[in-house]
Order: sequence, then structure tokens, then C-alpha cells
Amino acid sequence: MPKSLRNKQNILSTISDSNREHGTLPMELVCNILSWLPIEDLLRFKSVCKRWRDEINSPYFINSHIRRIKNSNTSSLVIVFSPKYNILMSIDFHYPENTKVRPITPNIPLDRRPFLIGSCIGLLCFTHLEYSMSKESRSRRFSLYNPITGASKLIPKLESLNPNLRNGFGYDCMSGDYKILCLATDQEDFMTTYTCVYSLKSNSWNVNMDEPCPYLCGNIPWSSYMVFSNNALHFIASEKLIAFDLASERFHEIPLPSDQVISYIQQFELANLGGCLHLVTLTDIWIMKEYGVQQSWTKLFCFSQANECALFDRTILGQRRLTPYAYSKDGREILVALSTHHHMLFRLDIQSRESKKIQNSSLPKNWENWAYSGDAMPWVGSLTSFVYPSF
Amino acid sequence: MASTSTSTLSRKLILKSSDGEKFEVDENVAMQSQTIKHMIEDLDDINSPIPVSIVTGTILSKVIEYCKKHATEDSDSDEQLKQWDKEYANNMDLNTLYYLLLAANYMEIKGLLELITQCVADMIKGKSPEEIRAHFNIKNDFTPQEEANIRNENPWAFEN
Repeated sequence: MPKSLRNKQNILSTISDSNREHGTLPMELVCNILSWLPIEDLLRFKSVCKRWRDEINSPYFINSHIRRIKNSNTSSLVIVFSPKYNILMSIDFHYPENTKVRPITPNIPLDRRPFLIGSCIGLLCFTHLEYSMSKESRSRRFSLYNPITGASKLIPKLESLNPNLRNGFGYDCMSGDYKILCLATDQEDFMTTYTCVYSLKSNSWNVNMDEPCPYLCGNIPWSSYMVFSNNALHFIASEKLIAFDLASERFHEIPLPSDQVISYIQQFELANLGGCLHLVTLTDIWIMKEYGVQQSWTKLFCFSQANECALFDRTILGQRRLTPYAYSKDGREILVALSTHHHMLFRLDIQSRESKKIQNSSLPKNWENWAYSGDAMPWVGSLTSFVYPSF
Repeated sequence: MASTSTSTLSRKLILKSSDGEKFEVDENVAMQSQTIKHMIEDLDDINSPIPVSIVTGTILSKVIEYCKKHATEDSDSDEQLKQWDKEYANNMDLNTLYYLLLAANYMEIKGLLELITQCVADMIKGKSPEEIRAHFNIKNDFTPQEEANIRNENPWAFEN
């Protein structure tokens, strides 16, 4: 018998001898089981016993849970941030009665106009304004926040650059690191842009002079945030779909569905649902079934055929923002938020083209007036802390 | 030994459980266990029974049932196989699942280990800490104060 096997047998026979009949499982197996559970269960199970608490708190477990979330792509949660009231609300599309409202506690004063720029594997990334001592100049700062644990972190300042263009937040699977992408301009020369990447592991910014964003000359819509999918951040600029790969830290272009879409593209939304990129145009929702393959773009929903006029009201067409957040459990419906002057949630039935406004009694009464558009995004809870072991 | 399988590879192996029960299986069925695969490589005489010493006959027969199904998977679509897995796991009580988990871990059968792990996770989803302690036979080693502190740390989890 090989030596490794003999060792294993010894360990396991000890375990099974001491734990006959309904015995405790080895912690390694318990850990595997726990890593399949959603965050609410994990938090509750911390009070089972000290061993479980220590295990759930351990960096090794937190990382294996992150890996699991990253691969599952089935989150039904949406987080909504209200800068007006400084609160967060999480809505569960599968279980609407589980809606939770919490005051947010990162130390950002409200007069600094904080807003949410990204949500990725448990962490939210905010940006806010910071004024110089003399109040003559202002710059933008970033912070990370885990609503589950309440931990927050202010990101170091990006020296001598203006981080005021487009920003994105994602998780690089290759290095197991959270990263912020910031396209900044020189303080003197506004025409020169720099690609700046913050790494949580190194807690520092890397300014890459050799990789300027190639498509900044076009009009970049401010309203939409960068969408994380396939280890890259995505945004639309100069009528092109641009990806920034978080591992290689390079830009490349992803093909869009077809020519007629492109002329309208400036106003539209990207989303990551079930691991696939989705594109919302004035008239339709598209899905890219195979990443990077133009032929795989498929039209999923057509608003003009929807029987809810609010979704295709021509008077608000230009001002409306329509963001898909999640699929229903059976995959037949999509949860979307329609934002004009306020927020409304709809469920769209892909087959029947029907749409229903969601009336959820567990939502706060005034929530529709809460948020500016763009402050709601898909979300999944994790125990990520800001102290990083390397794995 | 007469071959009952259509497989051209089908050498037969004998697996012996911890309580002495013997099972004759096709080599390709048994080889789904990495542990047995490594054992065979080291064996000169494959006709002697291979001891699977921590697994009882009852559990080993269930493991073999899984391996047989997955050794001939080309006859089923992925969807059918998933359905079969689901029914297979749903027919077990918690105690059987625990022993299957230990067996799959020891025998290194990745697919079975993952299936049972997920199945147990589904069973304990939404349960209270008290129910979990009863399920896993765990003693609560917190003082009431410590337990209350943990609950207060995590208000997101103790609502409803």
C-alpha cells in the first residue's frame, strides 16, 4: 500500500472509531459543506460551536467561499444604495419577503456625495469627493465596504492625477485580488488619460502609462457603471464595447450584436446575469451566450411587444434607464429596474413577453424616491475582510 | 472468470468492505475511485480482494451503485445523469449521507463527494443553530453571553 494511503487510512479510521453513529464529520468535510451555503446561514452557524465559528472566520474558509460564489453565478440579490438617507437595502428576487434595510456605516460624510461604482463578490466600492485644506481643489477618493461584516477601508489617494472619468470594480480570479480600475486625467493636461489600477492585496495604485484607454475620445456616458464579467470590466465608449482584463490589465474590444444596435448604443446599459453579458438597448435586451463571440448575441426581450407601457413610453425613452438584475429560479423571468425620476421594479416573462410591476409590501414605502439611478446593482454576500493572506 | 459486461476492458476486481462483505466489480467501475486506482497500480495480484477498510458493506454497495451509473455515462445525457444523481441522493437519510461522505472522501470519488456535500448543504440551509447541533451531534461550548454576542454581531442573519 502506498505510504500516503496508509496515512490517510490511519487518520480516517481514528475519526470513524471515535465518532461512531451520528458522529461528527471531520472538519475538512464540514468546511466543504459550509462553503455551499449562502452568507445568512454562515453568519447564523457561527454560533453553533467555537470550532465552527473559528472555521467560518478563517481566511482559508473565506477564500473557498469566495471561489464558490464566483463560480455559481446565481445570485438573486440586488443591493440599493440611497445617498439621500445613507442606507442600503438588499432585495432578494427569489424571496422578496427577505428584503433588508440597513444603515450604511462607512465613514463617508454625505456632503461628499458618495456613490456606488461597483459590487463584486461581497464588497461594494464607493467613490466620494475630497476637498483640499484650502478647499480650492477637490479630488475623488475610493472606499470599499462589506455590508455583512461592516468592515470598510479607505483607498489611498491617487497622487497628482484627477480620477474623475470612469471607474470600475472587480475581482481578478488569476491573482485572487480585488481591483479598482480608474481612468484618470493629468491635473494640468486634461487630454492625457492614465490607466490606474488599485490592488487590494498590495494596497497601492499602479499607474500604467503604456496602456491608455484607446477609446476615451468619444462621449462616455457617466450614468452607467462598468460591468464585471469573465474576469474583465466592461463599458461602452465611442460606440464600442470595451473590456479591461483584470489579469493582463489590458483593454480589448468585444463585438456588439449588429450594426443597427450601434447607432443607439451611447444610452445603453450592460449587465452581468448568470455569468453572461447582457446589453439593454432602447428597444431590446440582448444576451451574449458565449463570451466574445459575436454570433452568440441573442435577442432576449423586445420592449415594444411588452404589455406594460411604462417600459416603452416614448416620452421617457431618452431619460429612462433600464437595468436587468437577476433571473428567476426557473430562468423564465428577469428582474429589471426602471429608473426615470424614480425607481420601479418589474419582472419580465421572457416567453410570454408579459411584464409585471413588483409590489412588495416589505419594501419601505418611499423607496422609489430614494436612489439616483445607478445606485442599485446585483449583489452577493461574502465574509471578505481587508486583511489578506496569500493563497 | 466470465465477463458479464460488454466492455472490452472489463477485468474484474473484488472489493472487500470493513465488515467482510465482498463485491465483484468491473475494473472501470472501481477505477472511479482514485484511492483504488492507486492501490491497483501497486498490486501484483489483482485477483486478491482489495480492502476498503473503513467502509461498511451497506455503504460500499451504495458507492458501487453510483460508480456503475457513472462508468456507463455515455448511454445517458447529462440531463438524465443529473436527474439520476438527484434521485440517488434524495433517497438517503442523513446518517447514510454522512457515511457516504466519509466513504467518498476516503475513496476519492470526486463526483460523489461533491454530490453528497451539496445535498447535505441543501438539507441544513435555513436551519437554526440548535437544529444544526442536533443534526451533527455537536455540543454548544459557548456561554449564553458569548452566544448572544455573536448574534448581535450579525443582525443580517437573525431576522425573521
